[in-house]
Amino acid sequence: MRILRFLIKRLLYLIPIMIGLITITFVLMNVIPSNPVRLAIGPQASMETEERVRRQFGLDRPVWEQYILYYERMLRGDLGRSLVTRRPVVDDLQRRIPASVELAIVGMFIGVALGLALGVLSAVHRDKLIDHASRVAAISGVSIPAFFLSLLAQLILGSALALFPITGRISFEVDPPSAVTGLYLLDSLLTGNLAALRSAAHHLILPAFTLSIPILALTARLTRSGMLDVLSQDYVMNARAAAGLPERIAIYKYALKNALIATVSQIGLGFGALLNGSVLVETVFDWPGLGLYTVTAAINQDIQPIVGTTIVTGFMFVIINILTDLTYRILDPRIEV
Amino acid sequence: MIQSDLSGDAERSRNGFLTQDQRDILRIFLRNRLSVLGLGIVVFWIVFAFIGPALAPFPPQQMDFVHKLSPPSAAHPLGTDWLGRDVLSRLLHGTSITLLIGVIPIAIAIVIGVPTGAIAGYFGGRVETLIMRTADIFLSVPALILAIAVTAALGPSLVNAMIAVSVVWWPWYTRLIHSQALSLSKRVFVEAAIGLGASHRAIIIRHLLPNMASSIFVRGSLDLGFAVLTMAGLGFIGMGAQAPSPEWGLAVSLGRRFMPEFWWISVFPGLAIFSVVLGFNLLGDGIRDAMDPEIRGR
Amino acid sequence: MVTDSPLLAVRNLQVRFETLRGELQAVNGVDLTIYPGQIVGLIGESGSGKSVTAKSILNVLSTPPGITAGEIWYRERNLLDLSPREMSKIRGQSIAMVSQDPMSSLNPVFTVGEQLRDALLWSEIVQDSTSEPSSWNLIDRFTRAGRRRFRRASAQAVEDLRQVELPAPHQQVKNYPHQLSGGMRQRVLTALAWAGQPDLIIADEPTTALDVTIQAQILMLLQDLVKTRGASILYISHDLGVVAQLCDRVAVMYAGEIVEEADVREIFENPRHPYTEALIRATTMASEDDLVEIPGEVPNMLALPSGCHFWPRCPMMIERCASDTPLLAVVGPNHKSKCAVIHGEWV
Repeated sequence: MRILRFLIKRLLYLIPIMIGLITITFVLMNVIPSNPVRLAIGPQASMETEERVRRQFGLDRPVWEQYILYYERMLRGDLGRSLVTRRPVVDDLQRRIPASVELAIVGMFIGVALGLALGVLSAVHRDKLIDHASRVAAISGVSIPAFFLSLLAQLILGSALALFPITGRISFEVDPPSAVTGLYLLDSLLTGNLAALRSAAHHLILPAFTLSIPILALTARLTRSGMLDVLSQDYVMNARAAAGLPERIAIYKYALKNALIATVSQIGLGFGALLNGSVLVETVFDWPGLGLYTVTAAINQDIQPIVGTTIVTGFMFVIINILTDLTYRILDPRIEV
Repeated sequence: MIQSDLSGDAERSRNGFLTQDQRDILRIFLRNRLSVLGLGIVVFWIVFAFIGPALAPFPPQQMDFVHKLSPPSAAHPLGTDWLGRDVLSRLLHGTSITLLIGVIPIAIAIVIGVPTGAIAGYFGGRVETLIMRTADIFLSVPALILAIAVTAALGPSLVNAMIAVSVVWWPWYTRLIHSQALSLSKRVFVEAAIGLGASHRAIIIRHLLPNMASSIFVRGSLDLGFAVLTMAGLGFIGMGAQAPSPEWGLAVSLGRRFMPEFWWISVFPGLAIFSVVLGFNLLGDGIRDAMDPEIRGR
Repeated sequence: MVTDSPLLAVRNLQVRFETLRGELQAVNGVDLTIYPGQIVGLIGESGSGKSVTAKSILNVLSTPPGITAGEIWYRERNLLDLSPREMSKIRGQSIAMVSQDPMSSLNPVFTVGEQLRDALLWSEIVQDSTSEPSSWNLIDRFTRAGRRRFRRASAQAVEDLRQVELPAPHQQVKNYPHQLSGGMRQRVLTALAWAGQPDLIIADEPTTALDVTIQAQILMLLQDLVKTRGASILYISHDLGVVAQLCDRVAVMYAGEIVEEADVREIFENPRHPYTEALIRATTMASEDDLVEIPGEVPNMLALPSGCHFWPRCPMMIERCASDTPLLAVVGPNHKSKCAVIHGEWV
């Protein structure tokens, strides 16, 4: 029940956040120096057409009326139409979100798994070679630009060694699996399409690994400091001094759980890094997800898709943060959820 | 036990022009080889930002179609690009831009974030709610995506990209300063100042800010690397510096078309960004470790 | 008077830490002897090195010491010579610690029952195994023997909690430490330390965080357990009142050294070191809850006064105290003091 109350409280808090976000995007759309109507109808269209479209979208009304209209549209789930794809933004997003989600999940998984291992090793062997090496690796991982790392991966693993395909989500020779969830790996498993599974996995490795690097670095860092913190606590000393437990158990069972909770409590930062990174990684790997969509729209000054992705990623980001908070609360018995 | 002995000692002995605490900070910083390496890298690039243009063997925009796309050689140590421009020269000319566009957004973010955070934390009430909820909204979108949206709305350019990064960054400082101001304003010396009838302005400026300076400094130095990365990222996707600027993120992006055969056009500026960010991050970590009293005790 | 061979004999223990401002000698030449069935009190102000002494006996100092030197004889073995593996069989099974602070000594994210169960499991594994004890056994719920061991240990955990007089042990095993009161946690810690049936308990100020009534209960519990199980206790405290009530023998530490050592009645009736005298005076004058305070400043361990470390605070100080070091010399039956103004012996 407490968990439910917590969830409701946080979800209610989502409302002012979304109102704020919609307001920000509304302001952005209205400061845009270019003429959105002209961009939408093209330079050949007549003044009359421009006037008609302007009225049609309510752009001739006062700003506050437009603001109200804007909410109405949002509530209807209408995010406008993209100038580039000529499709409603909502349709584009539906098509692209699964690609991003698949990449993000795999990237997150790789990053967290390796980061945890590295962080724990680092803390346990503090100031030894492995600690120094993993700290240098971690700080390099957050320092290397995602787009540059993607390029290097393409250059070395893709071109020079020809181990992986350089761009795309699945090979042209292979038909994508029939859409169930939109996640290629899952869909090809569900439909038993092994050729698609192999191709999709092969295409996924490089971008997912590149995307995982900052997460890996962050997780390793959080886990190391969390672990060091826990290892200096009385209860770890006491597990050995009073209960006489062997060091391995004192560390890998007793200390690790505390450190994990501390890591989970801050992993929201990792999701931020993940979403930022995916913009650049998707651009370089030509991965048909949200990030690439945003960048294409931005280059073309196509404001509706940008606003759409901003609102949608904002929404997802807040939800993800609520979920990590929830996980943390469930894991930590000290918090009365 | 050890720690209380040390801090007691710190109050007592002051000699030279540094206090015992400051000397400890310096000693911890210098003891960590990685921090010193970071300082070295940053100093190296700052020096090059100043003298780089003078050292560059060619003007950054000088084209040479005879020698276009030539690999690294004695004449062009880092090769030439598709217009025959010298990659090294462009790199050197781009140093100051790359560093500046990292520093400026952080400076602006501090200028916005510190007063808003201090006001929110000190006054509390509705002002606090308004400021902090606004900050929350800005933090609810991942930084790069919001920055892209803002830049796209304002029109892609270096200045607009810097504005965008400041817009997404200030809430972090507001949060930091808010929580500090909150705890500081309950401390005895601030309450005493209030009791003595000091104006709010005087209390914020004379009592709160000086006590928050070190955490602003630490946070700022940790953020520099991130800011350079974000700006380079915006440059890379075409939302930052515009051609023919020698900005590094843009340089990596434009060279992409010539990958993998003519890798040097992208790889060298990419390495340069990496090293600057690494330098800032190592330096920032070193500063944080040296100034954080908790870590210092260990 | 106990005449057996000692259970624990610490000889010339030295513990040094490297700190930022130089080397810190936390323990300097401590000798300590504990016989079977004896309760020895080690008292001193905080920072005097008594906790460091205790932790270095078990080799569980959280800040790794620069150097630990000397000898720590437990029965016929010098603990400082043991391998980590051998040492881990001593900890909990032969010597166990009851910790200073019931609030921070239990792991907050595991239930009380699980923590006690693991201690019991491990002690069973160490004590009856024909092969080398392996950590695997602590997570083995996959084999039938493993599951049986788990069930047995869980039942034993409830039984042990009953023995330390924890109310409703069946329910308490499912609780997390923060759901227990301080006194209850101290009981759990006591049960935890006894889980391996050690013959020496090192109790590091186990009652400081508790109120007086609960303190008394815990002390009774300790005394009971010593009587019924025939173990020895090294009781570390700054509270002379508790030590007087509980201990057979007392050693007083100041600035990393033992300055006086005698049987409990002797030391209270006939203290032969000005520091001990000051401690006793402060205790009798202070009201029950007050912290015992002695005039003068606690010494800075990084810059100890030369000669006798106590001279800056000593009412009996003579000129020579500031330059020459006094000996820890015999001043009575089973009674040693490190005050040369009293016995006249200098190094």
